[in-house]
Formats: sequence, C-alpha cells, structure tokens
Amino acid sequence: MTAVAVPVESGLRPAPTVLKRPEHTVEIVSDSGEGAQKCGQIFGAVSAKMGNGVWTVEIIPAEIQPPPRTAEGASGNRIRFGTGPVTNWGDETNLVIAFNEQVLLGRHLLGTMAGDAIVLLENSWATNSNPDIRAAWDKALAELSAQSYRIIEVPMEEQCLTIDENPRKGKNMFALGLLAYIYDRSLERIEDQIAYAFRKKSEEVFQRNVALMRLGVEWAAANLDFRIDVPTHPPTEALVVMNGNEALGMGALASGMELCAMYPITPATSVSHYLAEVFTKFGGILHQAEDEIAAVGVAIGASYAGKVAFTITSGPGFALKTEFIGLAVMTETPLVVMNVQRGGPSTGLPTKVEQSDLLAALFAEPGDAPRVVIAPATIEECFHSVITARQIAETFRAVVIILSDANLSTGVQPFPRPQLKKEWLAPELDLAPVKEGQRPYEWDARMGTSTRAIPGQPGGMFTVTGLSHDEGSKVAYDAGVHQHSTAMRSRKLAVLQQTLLRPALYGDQDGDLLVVGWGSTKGAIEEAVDRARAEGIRASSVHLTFLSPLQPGLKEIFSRFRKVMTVEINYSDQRGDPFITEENRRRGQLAMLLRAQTLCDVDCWTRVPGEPLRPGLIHKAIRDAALTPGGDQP
Amino acid sequence: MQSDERVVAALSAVRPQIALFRFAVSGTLERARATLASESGPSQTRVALGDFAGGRIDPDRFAMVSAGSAPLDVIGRAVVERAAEALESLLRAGDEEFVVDVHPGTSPAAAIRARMTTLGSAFGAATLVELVRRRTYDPVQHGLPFKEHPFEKWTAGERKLAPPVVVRVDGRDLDAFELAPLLDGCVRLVLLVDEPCPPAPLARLVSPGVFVAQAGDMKVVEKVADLDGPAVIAVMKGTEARFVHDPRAGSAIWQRIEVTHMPDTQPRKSLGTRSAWQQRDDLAHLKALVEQPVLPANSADALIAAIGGGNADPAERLTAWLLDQSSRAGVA
Repeated sequence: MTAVAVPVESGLRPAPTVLKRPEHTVEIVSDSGEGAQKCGQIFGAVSAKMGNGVWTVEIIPAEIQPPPRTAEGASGNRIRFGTGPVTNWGDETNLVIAFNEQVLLGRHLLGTMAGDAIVLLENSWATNSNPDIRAAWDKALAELSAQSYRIIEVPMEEQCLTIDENPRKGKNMFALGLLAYIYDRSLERIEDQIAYAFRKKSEEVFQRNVALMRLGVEWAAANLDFRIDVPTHPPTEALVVMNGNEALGMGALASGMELCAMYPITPATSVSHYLAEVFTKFGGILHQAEDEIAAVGVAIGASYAGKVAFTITSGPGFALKTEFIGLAVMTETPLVVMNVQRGGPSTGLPTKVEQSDLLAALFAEPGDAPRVVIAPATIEECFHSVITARQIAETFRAVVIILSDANLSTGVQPFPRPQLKKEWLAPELDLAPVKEGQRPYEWDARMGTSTRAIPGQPGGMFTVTGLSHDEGSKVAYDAGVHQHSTAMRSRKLAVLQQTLLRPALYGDQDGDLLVVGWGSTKGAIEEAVDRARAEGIRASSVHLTFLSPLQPGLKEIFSRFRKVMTVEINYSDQRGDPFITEENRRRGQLAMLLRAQTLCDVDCWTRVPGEPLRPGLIHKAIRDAALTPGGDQP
Repeated sequence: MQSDERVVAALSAVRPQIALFRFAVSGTLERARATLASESGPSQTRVALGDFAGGRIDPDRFAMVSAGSAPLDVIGRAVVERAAEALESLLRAGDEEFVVDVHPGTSPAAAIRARMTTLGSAFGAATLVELVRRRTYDPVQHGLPFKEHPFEKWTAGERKLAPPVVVRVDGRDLDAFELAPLLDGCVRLVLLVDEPCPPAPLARLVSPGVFVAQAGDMKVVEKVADLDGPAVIAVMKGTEARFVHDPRAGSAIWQRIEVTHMPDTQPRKSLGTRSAWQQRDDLAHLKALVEQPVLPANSADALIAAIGGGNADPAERLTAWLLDQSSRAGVA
C-alpha cells in the first residue's frame, strides 16, 4: 500500500492519530556516508535520556564503501525502544526511514520489517534523470507495494536542498526531525545531542543541522497523519548511554589500566578511538603497534615491567596473537585480552556479529595454556567486566580473555551510572625489595599461585623465558619439572573455579527445557523464555559469564531439566541435513564444551546470520525443543 | 612568623623541595592505603572485584587466594592504619611545619633536629609499612615511631628526601659546628638571620660537597633547586661577608667559592659563643679559601719541561716523568 503524503491546509487538517505503543523499533537506512547512523545514534540517545529503555544496533554493510543504491549496501541504525527496559534488538521493525528504495528492499528481503511497518521513503529517485534508476525504483516499489507496509513518500532531497545545496548532506538530520515529530521527542534534547555529535565542527555546521532537523519536524507536522506514543519514564537515577566498546574503554580507565596496545580491526577499533581521546588524561598510554603480534607483545612487555596492560582485537587479530598469549601464560604475566568477536573464519564478516571464537579463546595455543575466559552479556557488563578481569589477571598472574562481540560493541544502551571506586584501580606498584631467596615462580604447591616479581624491584630481575622452566625461571627440560610447572599453571584455574558461585537461573529451578547462553544473547534469550513461559512452556535459562573456568554446579542444574539446549551465534550442523548424524554432528561451541565438562546430553540451537539473534526465532526454537518428544537427557 | 616577608619568600624559594617531600609522603600514604585495601578481607575484595563479580565470585574465598601469603594480623593492620593516620596528619599540616623559630640563646641545631624528627615521622611510617608488608615487623624490635623519627636514624635514601627547613635565628646563636652533622643527603637549611651576627658564621661549613652561602636575598636559594647534595644558606641583613660555595662549580675550592663582599672592619667584640678572635679567624679562613694557588713562574716552567713538551698525551707525559723520577723508565 503506497500513500503519498499530501500537504493539507493547517486549519482544515484533522489532528493526527496517536498510536500508543509499549515499544517500537525504528530503522534508518541509507547508503554508506549519508549519515543514517548518526541520525539513529542521536535518536537513540535522546530516547534513552527521556526515559525509554533502548537498545540500538548499527546496520553496517560488510564492505567499507559498498556500491550505492544496492540492497546489500544498507547502512544505518536500528533502535528498539520501549516504556520498560529493552535488552535486545527485538524481532521486526515497525517504522523505517529509507534514503533510497534499494536499501529498503534489502531490509525487506532480510525479513527485518514487520508486516504492517510504516515506511518513510525518499521519493526523488522516482523522477531521477537516469532511466535505469527510475526503472529500479518502479521494480522495487512493485515488490514493496505488494506487501502490507504503509509506504509514505517523502521529498527529503527537495526539502533539504532549501537549506543545503549538497543533496547528499542533511537528509539524516531531516529524518531525525521526522522521528522527533512522530515520537514527540524533546527538541531541546535533540539539539543538545546534535551539538555533542558535531562538537568538533563549527557553529555554522551545528546551526545548519539544527535547521535541517527542524525542517523535518515542520514537514512531518504538516504532512503526517499519525504520531506514535511510546511513554517515557524519566529515570530516577543517573544513567549513562554508551555502546559496548565505549564501555570497555571506560572500564579500562576505571580499573586503572595504564597501557593499551592494539592494532586496528573491526569491530574492536572504536575502543581505541575512545581511548585515544581520553586515555592520556588519566595517565594512560594508547599504543597502536605495527601489527597484531607486536601489539600483544608490547602489552606483555609492559605488564612484565609492572604496568597494567591490555590488548584488544577481533577474531583474525586474536589468531595472530595466539603465540604471544601462550608466552604470557608460560611466563605468568598478567594480561587482559579483549576480543570483540565478528563473523569468521579468516577475515569473515568484519562488521557482523558472531560468537565463534569461544573455543579459540579457550584452546587456541599449542601446548597446554590454561587461561581465564569471561563474557559480558550486556553493555553495562562490558564496563564492569574489565575491573574483574584485571583483578583476576593480577591475583593469579594469568591471561584473562574478555569475549565481547559486534552486537555489544556497536549496540547502545542506557545503564546506571557506575559509582567509581578507588578499590577498582590497580594498587600502586610494589617496588619493595623482593624477599631474600624468593624465586620468580615460587608456586604455592596447593594453589599454583606465586608472588610476582617486578624487574624494577631490588632483587626482582630474572631471566624470563617461554621455555619450560623451574621455580627459579631456569630453563628445565626434565619431565618432573615440566609436569609440575604445567600442573601449577593449570591449578590456578581450579582455585579460581573454587571461588566462583553457581550461576543463577532465569525462571523455574526445574522444567522441560533449560536454555544455556553466553555473551550478548542474554536479553534475547530471556525475552524468548518469557514468551515461552507465557504459553505454559516450562522453560528456564541460565547465562554463563565464566567460560573458563566454568561456574560450579552445572551438571546438577542440568539434571533438573528434561532437556538442555544452548543458544549461540555460531555454527552447528542441523539435524536432518545431508550426511549429518548424531555421531558426526558438529555442535555449537558452548554445547561442545558443556557436553565434555558435564557429560550431559546438551543440545544446541545456533545460527550465523550475521546479525543478533531475534527473540522470536529463539522462542520458536524453545517451543520446538520443549514440545518435541525425544532427545531427553538420560 | 608567617607574616614575616622573609619567611614567605624563603618558603616560596624552597617550594619545589616541599612539594617533593609531600609527594613522597603522599606516595607512602597511598602504599599504606593500598596495603590495607588489598589485604583487608572479603568486604574490600568484594569492592575491588567490581560489580561484574557480584553473585559470581565468592569474595571470602577469593580474598583467601588474593592474600597470597599470610594475611595481615591485627597488630600489622593497626600499625599500617596508624602509619596512614600519621602520614595524613603530615599532609594536612601547612607550610608552618617547615619553619622553625629559634628562641634567642638556644641552639638552632637542636631546634632543627626537633623539627626534622617530627617531619621524619613520615619516613618512620614508610619503614613500618614496608616491614608489615614484608611480614617482618616486630613490635619489640621496631617500635611505633610515628610521632618521631630522629635525623640520626634517617637512612641515606631518607636524607635524600629530607624536607627543607626555614630557620629564623638570632645571629649570635649560629654555630657552624653544631649545624655540620645535619648537612647530609639533600638537606636544605635556609637561615633567616637576625642581627647582630658574626661576619662569617658559615665559613667553617665549606666542604667539597656542601652548598654554603651567606647572602642578602633569596635569589641564591633558587640555585640549589637541582642540587644533588646538602645546602645551608644564611640570608643576612647586615654587613657580614657574602659568599657562595657551589660544589658544582669546580674541583678546586677556589673554583667553587665566590666571595662578593668582605666586611671593612675586623670584629673586636665577642658575639654569642664566638670570641672576637674566632670571628676574625672565620674571616681569615674564608679569605684563604678564595685564594688561588699559584706556582712560582719558573717552577711551573720547570715542571712542564721536566715532563716533556710537545703534543703527547698529558697523562703519558706525566707517567713518563714519574717513572723517570723513580728510575724505572723503560720498565712499563
């Protein structure tokens, strides 16, 4: 259904219909470089500040500069916001603003749009001088009009040209004005947010953007016959609004990290962008090394010398760092490694989310290289996980890997403003003389822990080596020493595991199905569990944040459910696919781990769509698993 | 006393040293606090682990691991807490802590020692914190010297971090021999001398590594900002001798000392503990220090001729001459 908005004399025009909704999902999509993401970021931030729960996801094409006007090249932002908390990106889009019909078609073909979605579509392409473009418009509109969408053509370019002569500029602010009108956002807050977004630009740029935004508001007020009310609840406590990468960067500051050594890689790079702006103000050093290997080497060297250091990367970079991570394990040099996962293998899907690095994080090194792996599940946890990671790394002289992902890294969510604590900071470097006779790896025979010596301490110098060594760091190849030192490095994880608590269940303590997740899928899984439980399905979920070592009690928890199933954004063979049998079926990575660790029959439902999992799909998987006979745990 | 313009100027001149001392005290306080924080059991561990650990890590158990060696006992904790209190007290104190008023007729050295003993409590606290951290603290052996830590017990490192002291003193009470033991490490004494005063009370303190000056204003104090050694500077009002002995100015004493003013008249009356003769002797000593040793012209020529001219390396020439003098030429 296509509708062309027709201006109506203001005095005769009926009041717009106000549609009240508990939540709504909006997408703004354009070609790369047209600013749809900035529009979405501003709208999301303002919605959060006004008191909506918000979860935003960036829509990023796989290529940096894809061809314009292509279905695959859609770039933009998706904002799900509601009256209550929002923990994931949801299922379908309710309203789309598209800067051309091809990117809109792309979203339609991906099935992201609700059947009754409202579409505000730039219509200048319909009369473009290029006949191919006009033909493409007609074809796409034929397809889209066959759906039940409500398509409203908007003369964005025509309107924007009244203020800015560059037709590629300004549509995003005009679109922001449309959204401001539709959802009744505070224009003052929007202007504040525009000022922040363009803080490095001139006053003239700010004023032009504000004028474009207000033009959008005016056009919408004059032409749209509806508004949508998603009630806000102004927050009672101070909130911060940020994405997961900013949260990781702030967590690094809050935990007293002193050095970040990295090499740019999507989607991790923006952590370093953030730190580049602020780290030096806190005495930190951001070092962009010549490659991934050098970056982790610098971090290890700095840590060995007494600095609190970390490195950040994504899957392909993590692969390159593996040898050095093994060195950190062998030398028991405290190190925090942040891996913002993306689709793989190899360079894979640089801008798309996946949870396929779990087993690599656990086992990538040759030899036995035990390390701690934790996975924040929310943007707030991205912040707090760094503080815990640093503490564990230094307490156990261990490598701690934080597994984030592209969903968290670019998603934006409000959360309570952290009350910073001095205790989070790394304590002052202890340069007191090393105890006489103390050896660099004087392992506590029970716990495997040892007191760290810093080269700057009197008596703290020792020859550090990646070779097998004894307590004095002397290279030793004999069987007894290697057996003992390997046991000590492993024992630390067992000790850490003994300090962990059993994970909390979401839902009942027993039932037909337990869904096990990790990382950024938490919100979607719990929403899906809620829907299933509302249907009477006895489903619960548990979300694991410690992947190595695993939290205790899992086997006992699993035993209380008829079926256990992981939900993950990584690949697993589907039952019924050609050649796939129960014997050769490859399962999701957490499922493999849990099966090995608990000897329970843990099933899995995994997908690698290059986007976050939708609660609706998980809900369907839960229903299928819970209601399908067979596959019960023995 | 603080309103005295000279005191204000002197404090301003030694501000970098005061800042350095306070920085050291602050660092020690941080260390004490860190010790308490890192070893103060589950509640602190819970905070330090952060919110991510909430409900996932048992802070009691984690604290047992993170304590590493034996946790602090009650006495050790009390010692560190008291050390932290003492350090905080020192940091709260104002500039007056670095100013000493010497009552006329009393010993300035004793007054300075008393103040250094108080300020030195920072070093005592630091020592105890380290002993506790290393689990080697013994109450009987080490005591609780938070209120005082006499200069005599300061280590070489502590003397390097010595706080500066501005001393307002009656010139009659100045006694170089009493002050000499205090000149060690990087001690800075700025003496604001009231009249009457002997003409060269500090002349006897001139020794190779000590900066000694008698001056009419504070400018000379700035010269010791980057000096790695002790300094004593008397800022005087009258016609006393003016000189600067800077250890960095040369290897010979006449290179290091510069006298810009000598009194026109010789002392004829005793002043304080110094007799007139002693005062005259101080001036004579100062004069002697300034004198450049000069060889008779012909003896210098003879020496040069003896060790050989030409372009040979001076060390080689001197070696050859010495060997020749000892009849061992050709042995080397």
